[in-house]
Amino acid sequence: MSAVTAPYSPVAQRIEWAQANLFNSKLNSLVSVVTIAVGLLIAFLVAKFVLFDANWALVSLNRRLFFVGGYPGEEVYRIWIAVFAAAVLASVSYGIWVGRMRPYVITVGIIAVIVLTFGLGTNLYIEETPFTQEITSGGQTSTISGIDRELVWEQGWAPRWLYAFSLGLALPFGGTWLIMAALLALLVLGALFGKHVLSRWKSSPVLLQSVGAAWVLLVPAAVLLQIGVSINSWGSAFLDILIFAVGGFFSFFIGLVLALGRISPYRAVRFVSVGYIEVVRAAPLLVWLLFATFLKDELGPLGEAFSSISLVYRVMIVFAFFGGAYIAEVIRGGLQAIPRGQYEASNALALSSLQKYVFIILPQAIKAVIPAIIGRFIALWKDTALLAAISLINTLEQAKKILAGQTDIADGAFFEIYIVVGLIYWSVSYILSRLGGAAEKRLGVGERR
Amino acid sequence: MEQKTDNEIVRLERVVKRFGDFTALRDVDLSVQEGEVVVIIGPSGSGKSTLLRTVNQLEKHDQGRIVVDGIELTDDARSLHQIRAEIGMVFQQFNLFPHLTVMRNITLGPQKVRHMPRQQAEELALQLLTRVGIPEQADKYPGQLSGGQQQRVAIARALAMNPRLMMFDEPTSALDPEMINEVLKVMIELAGDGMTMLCVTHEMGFARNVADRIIFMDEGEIVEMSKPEEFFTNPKEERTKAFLDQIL
Repeated sequence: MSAVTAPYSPVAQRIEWAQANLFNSKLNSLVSVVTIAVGLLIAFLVAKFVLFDANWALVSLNRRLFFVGGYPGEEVYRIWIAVFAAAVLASVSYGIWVGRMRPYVITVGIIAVIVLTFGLGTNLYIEETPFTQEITSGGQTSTISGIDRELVWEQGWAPRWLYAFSLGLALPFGGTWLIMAALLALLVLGALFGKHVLSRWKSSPVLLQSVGAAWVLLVPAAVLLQIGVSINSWGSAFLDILIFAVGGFFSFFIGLVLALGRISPYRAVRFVSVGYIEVVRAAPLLVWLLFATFLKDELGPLGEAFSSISLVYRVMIVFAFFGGAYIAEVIRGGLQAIPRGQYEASNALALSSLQKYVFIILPQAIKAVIPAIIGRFIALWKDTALLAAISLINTLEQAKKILAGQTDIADGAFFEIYIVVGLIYWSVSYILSRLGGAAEKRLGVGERR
Repeated sequence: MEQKTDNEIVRLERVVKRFGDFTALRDVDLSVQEGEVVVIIGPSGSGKSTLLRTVNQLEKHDQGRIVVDGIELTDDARSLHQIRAEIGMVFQQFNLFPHLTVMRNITLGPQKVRHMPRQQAEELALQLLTRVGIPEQADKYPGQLSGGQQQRVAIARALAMNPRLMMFDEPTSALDPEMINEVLKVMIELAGDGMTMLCVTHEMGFARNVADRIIFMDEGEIVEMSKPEEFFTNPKEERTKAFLDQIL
């Protein structure tokens, strides 16, 4: 099959395209028909389950637990601040450097319709009625009392199957609804502002530097925002994202230093870098996490200092150093791809070693390996699933707890719960991969050589 | 500091360079005066490029002395840095920075090494681009230019450092024939402006018309050194004759 893409134009053209690309020979027609049939069947089965068979009540009731775990309700505004900051930064950057507004607005619009309207008027809660009952058996009468729990569904304007579209996450009217509305509006306004106002200074280093600095500061700022909230209450998707963000952020810089260490002119530095990378990569992350959990004074004062900090921070450190070993190898690959002439031209210009790497070598090396770096980040993000093994309540563990606690109202809704867990992992991975794609495009300008 | 004779810019004394068992330069002596255009020719593998590259220490020499603009090349990083800033180099493969615009390729050196303010560096870059005939290409990336245009940008980049010596390492060898002249034209103008130049090239027309002196190298040695007319019409050494017979 040729790699022609379907043109975005009249039906006739599409039919022509299909004839040329899908049905241009007997074998190809057969393959196409089978593939389409299997695809339709899977789509039908998924739709049937999501819209009609599934019970989204458990997901809907526990959406807060899914996102922020046991985080105290009166402090949740801190998380919202971080989310809003990220949204502003992402949308403004998109507006300035990508600027394709139509697909962007359509996507945000679809999300807005699902999140903001399908749940309107819907109310879902558990009614608890105390009861006492007299039981007579064998001549003896005893009274038992307890609480009867019943799921109450007050349907809004949308039929239940439409509500299911939002996987039960559709939010009822209230404070959160307003916040979500503001967030979605901001995503559009930020992009418009970036495109129509800020993009005029697109080539100005001041704009580039300030937006870059804001991105770099985002992760540390989001962590600092959490100061004062007990670490023990961090959980679920929030905990995963925070650990990944901090670990990933520092892993990049650790990887950069290690990669440069590997090509250092000093033998001792090379030796240490290579040794570090080989040792760290030789054991699975889970083993390192267990070391971090159980290390006490085995390494003397170093171990004591390490074990004195909270487990969450210890895990962040493990993620940063573990991820760094892999990133180092990725960046080393990029460094090897830089032709010798680039070093020679920099030297001939009398650039210092630091200038040579900062302005000439590293920008090209890192650009060349963005896809691989994004791949490492996605792997690191999914590695947060391992936290369940060291008694941190990550998304996976939270899902198990929800299931364990509430079987009586949503009996056996395992599949629904794990679909949402999967979606949380998927959505962050997807955002990462799109960010990588955008960065690649943005930096790929001078590629044609 | 070294005692300078006349306006000597480069002085090589018994310079030796080895790559493993292979000796690329054998006891090379050379002196280049300010304003002189010296063209080095010779068969491939004769050490021409290596000679240039030892002058700005892209290759470290193993023995002998190299003095540039009165500064002797030692292991001292500062003297090396100083010397490199005074020497512009143009490579066979251009070696432009593909991730930077033409403008940025040229302004980087003056801004980072000479600490020139950005605006001044950009004015200078435009002047130089005008001089090499492509001021309209300033905002493009190297990959969007033809080979000849890229090489002219490379010359502008080297000139932006206001060098005392320009070295050309086979600047036209990687170019399509129709682009060779646009680069040679810039080099001829440069020579006319009194720039001191040290060129490795196979362009005999250029050597004959522009050079003050021609050096013929073979097997790591300077075999013959003379004025162009004499060199081409009355070569003294057998090896020179054999080489000229082959190429002319």
